[in-house]
Amino acid sequence: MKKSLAIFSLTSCEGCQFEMLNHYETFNGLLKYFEIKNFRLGQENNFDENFDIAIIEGSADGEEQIKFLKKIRKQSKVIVAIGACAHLGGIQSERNSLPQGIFHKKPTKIVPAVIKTEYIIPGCPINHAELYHCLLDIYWGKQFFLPDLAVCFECRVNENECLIKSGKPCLGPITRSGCNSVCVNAGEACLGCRGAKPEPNIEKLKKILEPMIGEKETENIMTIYGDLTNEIDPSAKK
Amino acid sequence: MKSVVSIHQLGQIFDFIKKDYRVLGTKEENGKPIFGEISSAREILIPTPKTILPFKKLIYPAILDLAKTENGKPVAFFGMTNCDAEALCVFLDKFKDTGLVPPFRNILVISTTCVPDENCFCTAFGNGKITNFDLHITKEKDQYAIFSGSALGRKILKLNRIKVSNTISKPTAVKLENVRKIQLEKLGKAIDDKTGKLPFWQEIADECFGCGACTAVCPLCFCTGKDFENDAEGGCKHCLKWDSCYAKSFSEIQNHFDLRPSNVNRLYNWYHHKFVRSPKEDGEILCTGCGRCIKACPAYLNQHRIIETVQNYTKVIDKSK
Ligand code: SF4
Ligand code: SF4
Ligand code: SF4
Ligand code: SF4
Ligand code: SF4
Repeated sequence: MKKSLAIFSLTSCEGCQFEMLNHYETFNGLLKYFEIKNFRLGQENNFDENFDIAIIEGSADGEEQIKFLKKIRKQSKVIVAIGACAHLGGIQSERNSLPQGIFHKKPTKIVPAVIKTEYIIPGCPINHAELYHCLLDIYWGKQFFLPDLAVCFECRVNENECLIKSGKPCLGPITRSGCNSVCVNAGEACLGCRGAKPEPNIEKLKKILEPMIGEKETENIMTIYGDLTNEIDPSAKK
Repeated sequence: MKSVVSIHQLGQIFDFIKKDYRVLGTKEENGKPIFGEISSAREILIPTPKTILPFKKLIYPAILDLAKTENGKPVAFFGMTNCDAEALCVFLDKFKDTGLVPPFRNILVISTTCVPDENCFCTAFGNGKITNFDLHITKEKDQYAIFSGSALGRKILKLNRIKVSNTISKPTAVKLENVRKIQLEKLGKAIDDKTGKLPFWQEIADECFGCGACTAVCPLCFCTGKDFENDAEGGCKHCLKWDSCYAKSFSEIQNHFDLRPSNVNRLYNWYHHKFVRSPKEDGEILCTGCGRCIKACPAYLNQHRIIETVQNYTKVIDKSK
């Protein structure tokens, strides 16, 4: 039997939804198992009913979005939060650290801070294959796990020159693997969009980065995507 | 036995081998030395610098699709440092009952002189003698000296009509400055005996990211995770993926119960497996002193210095008794 699926977007750039649309071919295969009941970006006819799985992108801004999120929770058996905004707060969470009053809005909230969240697919944008496997695993009742080494592991497998070892900043050592170190493969530093790996040694990384780029810049690059240390596995929090 | 050949003759030997073997070796790609498929002798780097990933990526790839079995030509390594040739032998021995890799006796090993760097410490575990090869090649000005180390090696030279001198000569042993001998027995005991040493290991763990880079690059780390990936066609891909004992999931069992709950336990296991458990089980330490882990570590830890320190740690304990 098909499971019903809904895809919602809160405050975000909708890049993760586009990542799904970009890999339309891949996700098309899922239609054998899922019926998409609500997907504003992808289809015309959407339904406001109960869902087996709700995918949520973005962080919750203001009472309206919080209320909306709570409603979706009531309507859905499983919540899959996707992307750095839902998981870490995203770029918009920068304002959470600014003095109150500059913005009229209250701090932006990550999805697990508002509702119980069964799964998080991290990344900015997400790795579409990871979401795809998560959905299939949910369908088959198999436990879905994210990889939990650091990006450095994949970066070594890809035989890149290590940025840190050549005196350049990189957040790979504390960031959860699973993106195949795409940024470093392309010559850019890892900026931690997938959030921290378990037991991240942030103090050590600060000790390396601060003499390299200064205290302020270290703080800056460690907060681009929000709070890196947000727990990935809400069920393990207990 | 030693022979001296021209670059032309070396090419001839290569082509001869290429007919029957899939030739793998060290070449340059995007300005970096890497292990890869070799199609002509000119590609092979002799002397041979160290690659980021060792040979294992070719015979036991990071993601191994179990549905695809390759049944091609036998493998020849052409252009491989002595330490990697040694590691290859141990690596394949660990896998000998799995059917996942070819047996060592079916792999032709043509090792080459290495270019030691500041991280190398292979001589700490032995005398640097070069022994694990069918053929060994060193560059001598614009010629190449070839040593044969097995009947197969001699046969290859003979079939290529290479004159072999009668005087017995062996490749020059590797010499490294400032590398002191490590007494393996002492080291093993020092690691195995944990009494009062938690602060010592904790101090190292405080500096470690637990990132697993050191296991990815190690020629003698071979831990593997199983991965089942469902696909939309209703199938399920069954893969083996390189894993690392630095991963939390590696030591976790049901309900997230972690047998090695903290990074200090995982780090300790790395040393314990390499220098205590493996020698106990198979008589082999899982380290050749290639220094790749030192180069790879983003935390600037130096595994060589760490084992030197642990080795001498016993003294401190003995004195205090
Ligand atoms: S470049 Fe970054 S991700 Fe890659 S090994 Fe170095 S620190 Fe890790
Ligand atoms: S390398 Fe880092 S910043 Fe880039 S996708 Fe991976 S986790 Fe995100
Ligand atoms: S590479 Fe260094 S930081 Fe990473 S796990 Fe190994 S010892 Fe620790
Ligand atoms: S050190 Fe760790 S990853 Fe390497 S072989 Fe031993 S248990 Fe496996
Ligand atoms: S432990 Fe380090 S030095 Fe020893 S074989 Fe592995 S990578 Fe090389």
